[in-house]
Amino acid sequence: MPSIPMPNFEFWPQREKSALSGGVAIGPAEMADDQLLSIQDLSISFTSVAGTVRAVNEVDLQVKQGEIMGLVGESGCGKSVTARSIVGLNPSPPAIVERGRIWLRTHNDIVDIVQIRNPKALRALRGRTVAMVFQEPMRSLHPMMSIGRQIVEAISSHLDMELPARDRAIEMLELVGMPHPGQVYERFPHELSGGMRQRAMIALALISRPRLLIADEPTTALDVTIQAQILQLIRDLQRQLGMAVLLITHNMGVIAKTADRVTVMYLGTVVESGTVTDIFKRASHPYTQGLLASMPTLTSQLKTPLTSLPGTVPELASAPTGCVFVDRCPAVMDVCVERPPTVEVESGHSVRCWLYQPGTGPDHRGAIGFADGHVRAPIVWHEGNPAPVPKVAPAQRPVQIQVEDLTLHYPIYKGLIRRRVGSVHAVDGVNFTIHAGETLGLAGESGCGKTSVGRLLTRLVAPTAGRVLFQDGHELLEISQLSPRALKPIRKAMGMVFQDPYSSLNPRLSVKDIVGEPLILHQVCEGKDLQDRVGELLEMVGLRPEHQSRFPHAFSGGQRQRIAIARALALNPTFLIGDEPVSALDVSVQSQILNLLMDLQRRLQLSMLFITHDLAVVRHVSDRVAVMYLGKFVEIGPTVQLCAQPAHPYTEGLWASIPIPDPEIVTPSSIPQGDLPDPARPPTGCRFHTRCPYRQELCAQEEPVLRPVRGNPAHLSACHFQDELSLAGVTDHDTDRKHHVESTVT
Amino acid sequence: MTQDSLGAYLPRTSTEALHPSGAVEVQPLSFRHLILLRFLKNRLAVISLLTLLLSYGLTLVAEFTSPYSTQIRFLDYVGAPPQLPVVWGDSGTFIWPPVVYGLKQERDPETFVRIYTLDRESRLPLGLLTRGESYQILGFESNRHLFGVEEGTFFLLGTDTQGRDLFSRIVFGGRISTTVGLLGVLISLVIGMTVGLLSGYLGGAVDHVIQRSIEVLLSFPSIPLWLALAATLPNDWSPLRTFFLITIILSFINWGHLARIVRGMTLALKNEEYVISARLSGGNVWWVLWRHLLAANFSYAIVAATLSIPGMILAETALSFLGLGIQPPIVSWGTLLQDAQQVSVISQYPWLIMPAGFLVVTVLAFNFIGDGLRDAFDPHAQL
Repeated sequence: MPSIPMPNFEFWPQREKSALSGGVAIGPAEMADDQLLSIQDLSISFTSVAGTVRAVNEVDLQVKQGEIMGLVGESGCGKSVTARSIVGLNPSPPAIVERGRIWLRTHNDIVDIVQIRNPKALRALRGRTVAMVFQEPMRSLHPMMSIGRQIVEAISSHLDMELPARDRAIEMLELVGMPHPGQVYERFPHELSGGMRQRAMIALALISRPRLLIADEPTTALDVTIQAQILQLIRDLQRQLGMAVLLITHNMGVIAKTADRVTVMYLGTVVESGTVTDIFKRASHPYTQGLLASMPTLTSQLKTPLTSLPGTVPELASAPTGCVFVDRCPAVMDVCVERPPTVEVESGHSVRCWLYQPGTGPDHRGAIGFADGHVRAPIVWHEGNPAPVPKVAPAQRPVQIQVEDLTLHYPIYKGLIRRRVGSVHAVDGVNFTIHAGETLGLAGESGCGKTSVGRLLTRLVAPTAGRVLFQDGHELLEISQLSPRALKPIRKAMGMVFQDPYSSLNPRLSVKDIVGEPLILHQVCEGKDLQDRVGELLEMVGLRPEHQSRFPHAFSGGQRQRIAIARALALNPTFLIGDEPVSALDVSVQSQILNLLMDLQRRLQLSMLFITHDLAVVRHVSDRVAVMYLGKFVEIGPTVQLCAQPAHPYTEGLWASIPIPDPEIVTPSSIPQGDLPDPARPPTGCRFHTRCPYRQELCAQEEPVLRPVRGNPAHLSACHFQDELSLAGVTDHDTDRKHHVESTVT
Repeated sequence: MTQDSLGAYLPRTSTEALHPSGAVEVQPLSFRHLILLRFLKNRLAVISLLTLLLSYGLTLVAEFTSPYSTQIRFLDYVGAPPQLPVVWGDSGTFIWPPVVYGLKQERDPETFVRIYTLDRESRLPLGLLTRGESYQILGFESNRHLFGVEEGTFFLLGTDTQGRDLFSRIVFGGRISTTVGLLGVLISLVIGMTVGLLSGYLGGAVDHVIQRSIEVLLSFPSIPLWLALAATLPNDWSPLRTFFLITIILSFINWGHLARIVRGMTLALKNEEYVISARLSGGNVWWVLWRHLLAANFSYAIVAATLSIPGMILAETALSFLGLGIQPPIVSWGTLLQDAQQVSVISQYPWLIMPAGFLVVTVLAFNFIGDGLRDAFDPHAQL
């Protein structure tokens, strides 16, 4: 990002409007001078009718001045609760701080936030010393106030300054990289895109120059290209303003690219903390090692089983009492039923694990490790079954589904008589073919029409134009105009897995009724046969057949997704559509489900359309990948080629935007700038030209068509200059990387 | 397919494997269990529920609960004041069983108004399961009443201007009034849910027509509409038949609100992924509505229905009060309050306003239960 003009903060009054009062101002001896925040032994529990659960358990966390501390963990690990306790935002009741201290260095002194009872004193801390940015900017901004007024209000509530508040606000908007800050000042939140809203939110948080910015999943709701922009912005601002950032996320890649130091949490407990290199290069806790190993990287061998953590994250209420990871750990010892100590394995790198405590365990594993000068005990994870190499190339197999000029336009109506004023081009003339047993990955940012393609194939919506041909066992049948009655046997051959396993299973039906629903509707079997078939299906997806009488609430997210897969496969379909099937799952469960899908596909010879926004996932599971942008395919081709030598600038940008969980890989900086245009008014010419770094005059005038890249008929791209440009992709630098690791160790 | 081949990523679900320490696998609370727990935590709602259950039970067997029947007139005791049971005698002695003092009737020599004074000489012992008028209930014939006196008379809440026991009439009237509420809401629940589900799920033109019709229906002022509908009822119909028709008339107007609530819920639910996947599995409109949307809507509809029962009861009371609803000889709280229309009557016989008290308690109880149910069903509720 180019250097941003720095506003002259010297003019800004540093005096606080209301002096801190009510806080307990004792400087703890153990708080070093460079420390800004020190959470010590913090435990927070929540009480409900279902009982009391401890969401945060003996957490220690330090943030130094001017650093980015990454707090990473899966859902329900207590990272947000910890962060909210820093600004006193946990609702009490039900939240109770059982014990611990949260020391925070303010402008004048050091206070313990746990002891502050005065809401006014807490409010003075928020904004002035600590500011927060949340996941969903639309919900954190006031919908009825213009952006400018909200910033001005923040200025006048925290600083003694009437004017020129407007100038300061506009300066701040400029600082966060907002184009046309003068105009944005007058706009309302709903008029801005998601990325712009998050920038506005950051401007609002930073207006009073806090010493600590808490960013709680700031990019989770955003697309990859926008995410990369916002992360870049947070890093730049942190350096320019010299503030500290506590970045909370579930995404290891985001942490690797942004943070200086990392704290890993699991089930309310800090399992490991250290510098970003400590964590990513010498991960010591079995959980951290497993988490890193189970992520599909951009360098993994295609279509091979991923390493995965066994089991699921237990409910907080049933968390193990000793080491929280005990039920999933492959290196479990007898001593693990007791709560492990925090061991400092190297300077600044500590692990909460018995493996590293000298003298524990039957074979004194940890102690031996130290003696040899190693700092980590490498954990051996169970690898999945090796996949046999397919004998016939997928392209030579018969066609399963063929799509010709598929188009879907949603009309926009306006006014009292509902006049048609335009249309949203959700899908705009898409062509592709999926062969038997082949996986086509469909990638793109939100709003590009990838979900609509899935719904068109299953005829959940009728296409505006174009044809869908489906192999029904005898012939390729035109299904886009069939009546609902004629469609029923076709749908028998199609299965669909949805994104959210919490909304795709009816909570009021038992697993047997859910999985058996297609069987009953198609009158395949009933009674005892139904029960047997459902049991068989559950077994196939790795669940127990006797659990079919349970209700969905008794299962975790990953198990629910298995149930959803069992239902999709109930009628022995030949074609499976996965609409973001792993996006809602935690990292440690995601690889299990991906392995299951790849395994089932191979066994059942399924053709698959795999829709996702996660390029690392799509790269790993697909034979071919199609990249979609604003309703059109911009590139389609074999996975290997599309990754290594992308032909379209958008594809290159997508690869560049993925945060790679390796702090030492520096990705090219060709991140697409700006936002997705309005799909109701797509840009003229090439739809990507407004964000393309290589655009020429021609791009805005003439729309490129999909054509073979460098004469390869299997690899198509829609760029005027695809043969001239030489774009950076993701090469299989497995060998590179190994070399890299070795060199850093020595 | 064998389990071994997939063993690599088979989740370890057995208790032993999960917890080496031998801890028990904790099942998360089920949806129903959680709702029950939340409801039971609301004291007011639980007390209201118990009150209502008791009152429905007592009014169901009104013949047994009340000391007298509704039409028996005590000509010697016209407009008698309430007789309260006495446990402590004048001299502070404890009396058991409780007694009621008899009433002595006098006439004011100037105005000839009846004046009742307690006759402390005549002590009538109050008893449970006393013998009185015989009645038939559920095919049984009996002459036992829940409480009363065997000799003399006992008017717990006094008598009306025609010498009929007010308490007995309130009990019988409660049976009619509260049944109108339940029955009416049941009818509007069925209509409202059917129309609301169809309107929300089918959408488009069907939705448009149904919603506009409901708007027209709801824009009529309700009292004149009831009057018009009630006026069409023939005079020669039996009171019971009239009662059922009044109920249908009341629910006819009430279902509109419910249909709208259900439609809104259905609109939100029909894009849930489980509904879409039911459609993909080959389910038609009726399957999706019956299997998936009905159950999902039901909890919300029950809350809405509970909260609309008081409205029904009040509407019946209002109609009967105006003389257009339930006709004598059938007694309802509305017809009882008809007697208390004039200020002069109330100033002379203030106890005739008592049915209103019962009405208020019932209406409040239904509202409290509705509130309690709503909070219990609320998935975001913190407790």
